[in-house]
Amino acid sequence: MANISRRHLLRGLGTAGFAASLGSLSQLSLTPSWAADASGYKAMVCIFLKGGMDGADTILPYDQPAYENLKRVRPSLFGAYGSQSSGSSRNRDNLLKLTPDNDFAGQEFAVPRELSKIRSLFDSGDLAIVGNVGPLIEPTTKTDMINGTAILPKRLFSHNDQLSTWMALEPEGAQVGWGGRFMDQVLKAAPHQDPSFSSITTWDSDVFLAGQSVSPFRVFPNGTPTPDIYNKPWLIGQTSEDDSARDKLQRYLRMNSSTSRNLLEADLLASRAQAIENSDRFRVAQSQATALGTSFADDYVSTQMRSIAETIQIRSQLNVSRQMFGVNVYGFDTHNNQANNIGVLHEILATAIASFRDAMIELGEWQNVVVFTASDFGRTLVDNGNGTDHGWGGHHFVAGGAVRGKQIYGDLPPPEVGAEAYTQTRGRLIPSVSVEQYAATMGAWFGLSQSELYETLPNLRNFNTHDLGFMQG
Amino acid sequence: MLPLVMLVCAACVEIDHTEEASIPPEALVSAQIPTDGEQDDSASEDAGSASQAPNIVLESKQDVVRFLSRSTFGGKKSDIDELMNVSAAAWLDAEFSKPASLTLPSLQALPRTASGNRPNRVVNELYWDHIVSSDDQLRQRMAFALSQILVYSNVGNVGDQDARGYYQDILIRNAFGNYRDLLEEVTYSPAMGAWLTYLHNDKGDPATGRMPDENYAREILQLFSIGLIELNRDGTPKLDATGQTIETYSNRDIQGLARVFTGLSYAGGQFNRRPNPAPIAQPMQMYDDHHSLLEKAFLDTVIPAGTTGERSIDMALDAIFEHENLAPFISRQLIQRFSASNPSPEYVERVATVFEEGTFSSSDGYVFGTGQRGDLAATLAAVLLDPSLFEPIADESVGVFGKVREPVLRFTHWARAFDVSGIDARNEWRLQDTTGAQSSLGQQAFVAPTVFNFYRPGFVAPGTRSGENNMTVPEFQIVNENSHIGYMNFMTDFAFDRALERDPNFESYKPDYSEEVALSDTPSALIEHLDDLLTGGRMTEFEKDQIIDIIATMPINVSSTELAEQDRYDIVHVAVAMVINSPSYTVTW
Repeated sequence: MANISRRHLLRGLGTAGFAASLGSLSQLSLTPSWAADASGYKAMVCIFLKGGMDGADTILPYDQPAYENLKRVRPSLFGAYGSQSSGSSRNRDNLLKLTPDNDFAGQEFAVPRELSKIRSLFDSGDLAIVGNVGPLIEPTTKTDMINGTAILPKRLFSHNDQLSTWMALEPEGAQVGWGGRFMDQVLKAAPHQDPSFSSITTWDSDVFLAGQSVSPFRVFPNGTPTPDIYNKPWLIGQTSEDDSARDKLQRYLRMNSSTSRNLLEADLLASRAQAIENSDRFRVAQSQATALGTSFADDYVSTQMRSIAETIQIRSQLNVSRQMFGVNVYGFDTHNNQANNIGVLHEILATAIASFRDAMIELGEWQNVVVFTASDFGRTLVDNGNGTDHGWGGHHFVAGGAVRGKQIYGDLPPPEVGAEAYTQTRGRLIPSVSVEQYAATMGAWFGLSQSELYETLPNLRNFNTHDLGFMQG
Repeated sequence: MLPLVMLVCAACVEIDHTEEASIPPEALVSAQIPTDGEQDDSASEDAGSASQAPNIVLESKQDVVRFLSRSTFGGKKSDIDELMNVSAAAWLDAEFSKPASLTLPSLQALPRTASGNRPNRVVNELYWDHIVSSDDQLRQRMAFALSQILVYSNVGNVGDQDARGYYQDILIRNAFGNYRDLLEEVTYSPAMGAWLTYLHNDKGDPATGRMPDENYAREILQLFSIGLIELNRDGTPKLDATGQTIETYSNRDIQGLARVFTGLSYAGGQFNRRPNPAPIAQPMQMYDDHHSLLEKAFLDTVIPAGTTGERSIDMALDAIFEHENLAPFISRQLIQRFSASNPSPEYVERVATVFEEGTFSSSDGYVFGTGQRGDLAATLAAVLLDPSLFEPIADESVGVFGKVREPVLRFTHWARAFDVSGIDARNEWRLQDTTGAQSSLGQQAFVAPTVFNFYRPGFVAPGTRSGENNMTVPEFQIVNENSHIGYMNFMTDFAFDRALERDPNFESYKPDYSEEVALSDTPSALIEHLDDLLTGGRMTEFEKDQIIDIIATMPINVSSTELAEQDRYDIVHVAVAMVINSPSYTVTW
């Protein structure tokens, strides 16, 4: 196995990653024999809700006392929603009640009507909710925090750092995300897996997708771009000499060994060559595919999900048996105008996930993908007028054919600012589920062994439960 | 305008102006650079020359081009002739005294559409024209740098383009001013108020439990002034006894400071109203009825209960401005925007010291700044005249040098180097929105996706050699495998002078390639010329040989003057496109 993995690791790296690969190789000898299961095909799709989605305005308490409490603690926000009026999305009568299969001791929950497609997926067992997830080093209580004995994640409530912690388990500056680390493990075990298309982004090159042996390849909704300068013959002329100049141009742009002594220039040259090679290979693979029958909305979230569906469609041409995807949705930093903005975002999100499910069913892959949300943080229970501020724990969706849906995992604490579930100020939820538990549950399904989960998720050992139970098979 | 000191050195004319050429001792100015006498430069690449200030006279075309790549939106051919054998400090001195060219007037001169708005995204277009053509290049470049620290974005592009114009002008007017004044003007600007949601931010209400919006309190500390962790003056983190970094503030500080930024709204009306037309090109007004009168405690500062709004903001900004972190935090980011993606701690400390002292003396006797803490002219002079930028780089040294230029700068440098005519971006489809990475630059000034800009100062690129060396290269967050082809195609369209124009009868952003066409029969001369003009002579021999080989393959049909001319232009187009796609053009060092 070691030999195969070694050849494999080196192939995707080029000269730029050579030293990094040596680092990985040295670890190989330590890798236990029970390595990742990379049989069949499986994909994880992470949807980043950038800015910090307000959990309390996404999964609302529905039992009358808790609903009234929420209204009391957010008077201005509920005022902005006009919640007393019969048409208001936050009028209790218009909320869509969830009927989970598991019991929450009298607590009832609902989602706003803009999430009706999410509710349908929940009802059909395709989607689960994981409540109060966030970065944690160890199980943490309010008392620990007050006593100063809690070991806390660094730089809580700061966007970039908490986003980085969600993605890479360290504040900003982290270079390797847990999505990328999962793929590193897969690559060690799967000799045929192409590292170039192991990790795919539809938007930014976020750290979540970066590993030691993978870096994210970007797919675009309108096809992968290719250099015009040698692909459009009319640009420089059509004689045979021009053809030969074009060939030389192409060869030159693909060269991957820098003659500069400037490291930044060497990095640029390597990534340019990689870009051209990978985009060409991706285009060739995609040119053989037939169009998907499932239609997607044309907003930027649905188009990202469509790109992912189209990439999964050509998985065998791309030579991958495991893939990690990243999608971005912006606009959740609702300090202001939350009542006008969050509904639109919810609807876009729900529509994109629902269409993606249809496409996966069309391809026969719904059993083999899991779509999950992540966000910088949840938000304060106490409002600031017409918005909310940075919090900590938040609620998330997990969807897929292998998800044990119609259930709520984790915890959905009632909206009581003074309760143990919250920090001392403004109703910031202290997470009851760590990001690493959330990740480990999917990682095990994805095929990682227990030791690989420990290797990729450094604080997992601090928690008793490593599998939250929302994945089956 | 250029002052007296024009150090012309006869000996320099003779020497081979490669970057490695040693500077003849006669050319060196004897004055010492100001240092605190304690700094140890042994860790940086300039070891061995600490005792002697390097020559800051721009002695070759290449020197000029490299210097202007750092300090402007790109050197023009006319600049090169003008600046040969001129001291870089003399040029700075002249730039500091130029009047500011502002952006709001040309925006306000445009008619509004029927809906009452300026034409869609016109502020983007006008800004391109402004940075390409303004004479006060250093000031404009500084404003662009500041726009990436004090990040305001009209990413949503919702009509209020005048607010952005006014905000741009705050940065332009204060570019050589004082950081304290700049912070204040930014704080009162309706653009920032709306962007970071403290416009209409009401004081808390104990009856309902409502609390002030914390957004601006958090970001002014984290991004605009002191950052999250305590810093040494050289920008490295301070560590506690257990080796941990020390956070500069806690959530309690944020809650205290959030009270300060309550009560601001549009001028001249009522707190909760937006007058029509909204007064968005003037400072916001403080409405004390809506300002929190509770005690405001943060960063070891207590603003007593009962203090009114404007006074509270004054006191808060004073406290922030006096924080020890401010100088290294802002200095390091400014260096990253001009000259080094991963500046050495020594470089940061030199600039931070000038930020604190407010004055900078060049090795040839120019003195910049007022002597006040936070003086931006002095700070900028320290960034651009740092000795490390003028010392020869030893042949054998291999490492990370210089700065990856952001895509915006690479486009403007092309436009300026070839002296484009028809500078009216409203005619260019491609310039209205350049934020996409699929077929565009992946960046546009004042249109960052969030207050965290297009990239973060601490970004270390995974899977790269610079990353293995743990070097920060912010620009690699948008300049990477996933953006190269989009950039290449965007620039190819302009280099080939075939970017789509709205009115095809008006040739906008048209490059003047006459000098290059005249060289096209001699590929090596053409490439040497472009290398000097665009990279300051940084391309490697191998790279130049490859491009020469490509263009030498291209035919020139001499059967007619017209066809020959067309072929010569083809050659120039390919040559220009290859050079502006070269890593040597992307990195200035």
